[in-house]
Amino acid sequence: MRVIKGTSNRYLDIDLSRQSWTVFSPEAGDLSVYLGGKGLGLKIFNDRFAGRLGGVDPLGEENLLIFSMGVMLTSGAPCTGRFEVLTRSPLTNLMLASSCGGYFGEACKTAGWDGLIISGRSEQPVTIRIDEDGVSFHDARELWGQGTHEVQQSLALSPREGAAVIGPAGENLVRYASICSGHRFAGRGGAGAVMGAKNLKAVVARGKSVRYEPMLPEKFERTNKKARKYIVRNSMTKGYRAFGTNVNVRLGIKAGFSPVRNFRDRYNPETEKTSGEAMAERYSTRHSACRHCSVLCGHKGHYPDGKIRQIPEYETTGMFGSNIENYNPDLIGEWNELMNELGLDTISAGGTIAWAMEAAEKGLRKSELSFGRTQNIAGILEDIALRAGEGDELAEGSMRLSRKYGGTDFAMHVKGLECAAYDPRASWGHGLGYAVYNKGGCHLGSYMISLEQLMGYMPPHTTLGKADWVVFMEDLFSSVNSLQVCLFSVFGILTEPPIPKYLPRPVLKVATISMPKVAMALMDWSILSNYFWSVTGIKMNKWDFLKAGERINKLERWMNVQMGLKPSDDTLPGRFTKEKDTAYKGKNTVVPIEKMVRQYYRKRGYNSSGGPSASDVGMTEKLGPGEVIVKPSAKIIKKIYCSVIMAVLGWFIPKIACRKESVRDEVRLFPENYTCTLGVWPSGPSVVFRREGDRLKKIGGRTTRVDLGIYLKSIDAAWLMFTFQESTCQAEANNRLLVRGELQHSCTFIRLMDKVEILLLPKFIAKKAVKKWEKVK
Amino acid sequence: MSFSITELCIGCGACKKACPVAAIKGEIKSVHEISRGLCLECGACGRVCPSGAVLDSDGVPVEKKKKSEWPRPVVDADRCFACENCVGACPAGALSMKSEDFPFTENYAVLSSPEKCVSCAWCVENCQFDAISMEISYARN
Ligand code: SF4
Ligand code: SF4
Ligand code: SF4
Repeated sequence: MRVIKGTSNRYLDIDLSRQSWTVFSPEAGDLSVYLGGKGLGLKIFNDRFAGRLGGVDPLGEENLLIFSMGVMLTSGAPCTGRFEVLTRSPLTNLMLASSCGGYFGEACKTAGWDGLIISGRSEQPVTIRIDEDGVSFHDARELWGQGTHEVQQSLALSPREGAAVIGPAGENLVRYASICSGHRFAGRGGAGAVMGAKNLKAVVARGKSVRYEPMLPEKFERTNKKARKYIVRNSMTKGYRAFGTNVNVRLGIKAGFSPVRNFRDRYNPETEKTSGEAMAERYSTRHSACRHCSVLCGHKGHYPDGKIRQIPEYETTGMFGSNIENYNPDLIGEWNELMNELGLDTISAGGTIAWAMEAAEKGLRKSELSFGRTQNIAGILEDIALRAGEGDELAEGSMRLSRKYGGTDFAMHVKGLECAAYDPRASWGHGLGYAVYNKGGCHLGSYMISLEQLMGYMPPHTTLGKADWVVFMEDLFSSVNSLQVCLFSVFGILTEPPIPKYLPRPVLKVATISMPKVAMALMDWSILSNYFWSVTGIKMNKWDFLKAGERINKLERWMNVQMGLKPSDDTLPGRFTKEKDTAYKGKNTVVPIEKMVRQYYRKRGYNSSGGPSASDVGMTEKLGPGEVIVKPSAKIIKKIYCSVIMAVLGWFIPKIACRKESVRDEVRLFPENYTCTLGVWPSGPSVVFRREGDRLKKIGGRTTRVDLGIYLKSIDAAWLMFTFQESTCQAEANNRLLVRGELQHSCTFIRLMDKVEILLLPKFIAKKAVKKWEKVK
Repeated sequence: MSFSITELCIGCGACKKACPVAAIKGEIKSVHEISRGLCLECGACGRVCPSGAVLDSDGVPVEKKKKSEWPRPVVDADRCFACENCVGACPAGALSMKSEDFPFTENYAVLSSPEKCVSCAWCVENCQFDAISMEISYARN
């Protein structure tokens, strides 16, 4: 078997319109900057549409569907069976990154590919098959219309093969259709509809042709051992292992975060019937998890009708249980199975149906749906997937419906994505998480409720420290989704180290909100950065890892702003911010969302566009016709002055300085054809030289790639240096220089510049500019 | 890469029967062929071949071995979390859970059809809890 060290860094670039494919390798440095998985997928998406992200039609031919694998997949580390799907969402019109388990990822990666970039649109339904040699296209007309499991059966997958498929919902462009692999889903945001719009029924990967080895096997093993130990003994993972995510149901009843009647009530004691504990007993459950999982949150069970079914996740249980006033868990199991087969996202389907029930109750829109009525749900779900009857409208999601009929205050979505089954009035930080997450009302952007309620690490009803924690968790999760380790394992990793584990709860509760930065520093996620380091060989500590997450998160935000996100979208549905009194007997509150969002913006450094500035994410500002960037005028003088100096250097160094033997000695230290630049970061005046023989020659004003780049970090730094208030060494000591390239060559360059200054300037000035004045021979 | 069959093949068909995924094609008394796309690289074919005609993916001939000498998985019931991942991963369908009547906290995986096992060790690879080891002296009863 072929062995690859680290990762292949090769993506298949597939064009469905032309039925052609090529191999795409992201730039070598991108992996260390964006980590792979989600991060690299975003980067690829952004690069393809540089400057015209806003024009991409989610269901059009142009939209890309990216499967991105991440460096951890197939490494054998715990909870690493997952991959990421990226596209522009037809539900939110923003970027969508959705994580999925299932064997497809492993098969794709062990075929030697880090991912797929699928563009175009096939005329006819098509299936693509990939293996280590590349891609083939197959007619899928016969498979069209089949359910997700049915089609995986029809594809007659061999043990080496895994598939990512859509069901009827994807085919019929339901805005919240999912993609399925095995019995796991990339559920949220409508990636399935994008696949359907491309007429792509299935992607089959044949793996096990390639094996991966970490670059630093010993370090990897050490990290692995520790991670396993932490995950297996963590209390949160223990609960998930025993009862699945439904372990949250009981907590929800107690703390008042259950979704009841379209999030009106927060409480109904009957919800207990759908608790993880009750279901475990009723169905004598067993595990049914992702591969390589050691949390084991997924379960299946024996239903009264004799069938073995997957036990629904907490979110599905909530949305199709208390939220529509159904307290029969058997029905939830059946509907869950049906939705999985149809390829529907259960959270958005549930949210939309609950909205329709309330809208009918309030007389805004006619519907056969009403709270507590369960007979017609299965039929409605089928109608949604087939876009038949009322289902056709429901397939649009609650945001579009409420805009048409009114009732936006109780359309429980953020940015178009229906909120998951946690009522944020019991967990303010979680509310902030919903409001600001790039993807919309998904609970896994920062999953603050885990800290506020599930583990009880911080008081839920305060705004103090919440923005800090949301930023922290978002950054961490963005990185985790780029490595692709399952989010649930992260809790074990974060909270097992001794300090957070053994600190008395009350102390911890005060510390987390009053000194968030300190509390974060006490947690330890170095396992995650060590994973990346040991697999890829790219050095990374836990803070670098967090920084990468910030970069990924901000890139996604920046892309969203290009796609039309407004600051006013960072909010919660009216119900959470206006309706205080509920059936819940405990603390009734509304979420002070505006205050927290303001704090969040400040922490993130977002501007009035609702996102980071272009320079913050390393982009160049896109200017409309007639627009110019206005900079403070004082800088213009500095800029002109520095440009003149650069021009003088560009003339002086090749023409005069290179006549001197000692200057030539320095030049000879560079390899032949070596290019170097001196400039002002990021886009100020600059000059580029290339070694030709024993001379430096000035080439062009600006080139894309140089071997060595020495940049002054700002125009002010350049001003200080070029007006000789500061010598080169001093500038370096004051951390004003940015060097990209090898150290030895940068030292050569700095020595050379010293000589140039001595030659160029009168002695009394040059003495100031260089460390030691010596005559140049 | 995959296993392959050389000209030494006498066309006895033993490998064809041994292969868990029907990756081998060929008529009796003619040289057989392995489909590269299907082969799992388990080596079962090589271990049954009487004339040493099967090469592994590095081109090394596979040694013949009696079935009783094949390494087989042994599950440590105490370490097993009953996640059922090995059962799902086994390409030969040789594993199952001990009993559907047990609650999962007491259940564990067993090699229920040892005759089907082709010693590929995929089960070992798929166990997150190090509960499986490959052992030669697998008790047949
Ligand atoms: S190595 Fe295994 S899978 Fe491959 S041909 Fe031989 S018996 Fe079949
Ligand atoms: S070694 Fe394990 S996975 Fe392979 S055939 Fe035998 S039981 Fe199945
Ligand atoms: S993979 Fe390991 S833990 Fe899971 S059932 Fe098999 S032996 Fe048990």
